[in-house]
Amino acid sequence: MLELILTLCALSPQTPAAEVGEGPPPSLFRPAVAVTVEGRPLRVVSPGYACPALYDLDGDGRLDLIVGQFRSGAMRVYPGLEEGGFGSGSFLQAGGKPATVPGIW
Amino acid sequence: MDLDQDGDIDILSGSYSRQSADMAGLLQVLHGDGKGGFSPPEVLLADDGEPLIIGNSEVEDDGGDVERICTRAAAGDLDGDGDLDLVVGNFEGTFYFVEGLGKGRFSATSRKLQAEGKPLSVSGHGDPFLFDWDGDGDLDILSGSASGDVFLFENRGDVHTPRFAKAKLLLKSAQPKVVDGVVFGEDAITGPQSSTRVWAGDINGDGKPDLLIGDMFTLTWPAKGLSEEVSRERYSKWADKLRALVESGETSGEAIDAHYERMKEIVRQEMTGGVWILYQR
Repeated sequence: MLELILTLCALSPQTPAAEVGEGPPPSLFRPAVAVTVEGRPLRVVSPGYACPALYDLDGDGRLDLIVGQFRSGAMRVYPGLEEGGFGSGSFLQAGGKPATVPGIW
Repeated sequence: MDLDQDGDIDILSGSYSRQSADMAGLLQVLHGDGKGGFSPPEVLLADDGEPLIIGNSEVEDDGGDVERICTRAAAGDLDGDGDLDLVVGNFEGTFYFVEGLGKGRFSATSRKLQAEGKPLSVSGHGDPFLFDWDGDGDLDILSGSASGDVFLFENRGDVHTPRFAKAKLLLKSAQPKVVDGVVFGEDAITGPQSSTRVWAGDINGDGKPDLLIGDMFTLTWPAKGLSEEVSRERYSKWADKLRALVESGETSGEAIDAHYERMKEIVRQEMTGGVWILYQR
């Protein structure tokens, strides 16, 4: 079921494509940098896709990375490190157990 | 965001769909306790006490389920009244505005955002993020999409009266590297692929906003017991055969299914996603 939903989500529905007013100026961004954790590219639980945000969740003055996983509606939190980058992740807790958002399957 | 304006950060999530009634991607709130902890998710209710659902089945141009499922919401004060409003994306790729009434309360009605008389839209997976991208003092809308492209809807109004422009393509999705007709291994993924979800901010502190992008892609590795070299070679031949099958018109379910079964002896695949930072030059 999860893979079916993800496949459906990856397909564009039968709606017009974005009506684009203008494209990007050339080279607006530098080449994409993959976020790594402990030397490896960050990956969400399979099957799934990543929905990230940065916020100082633990109040230590550094931005932490929160990544929605799709699978089970879970979120992983990667603490911002003093030396830069992010530490190993753990599932966001709510009420003493991993938070899971209903309706994501 | 601090959705209920109690001074503590909260998490607002969309969802694919509820299962207990007509399909609709309900919004869920995890209330922060101010100490880094959160409450279990609660369905966000509208001011009428019912779950907040975008779209309206009573209007003639209602798009049905695709307008109400696969939601993602962003909060910001779009009309300058001091209350957080919501912009909610959906499967269709359009965006709804829900007026905030203060302290986490929201109107039960919503309206589709428009640009020059047509709905704001991306090619599936409306993924709004509210941010003053152009630094003119009002909130613009950034969005990923099913295709992976990232768009900007510039707010050409002001802090009281938003007026959005047509989509501007900020970033074209990356294409996986194809070698010998196949996409193979981690090295094939060099940038944001499909189903992108965006967040924006000045990540490196250089005064220019950057993008944080989540995505989805399929990773392919050798099947158990095969070396990478052998797996790549066989997978390339398998892909050639698939193309030949399709070109010959042999697209019956049985033939294709059998061919895909053989693929499992050659490679293993994982549908996953990663996170990318795009620093603005």
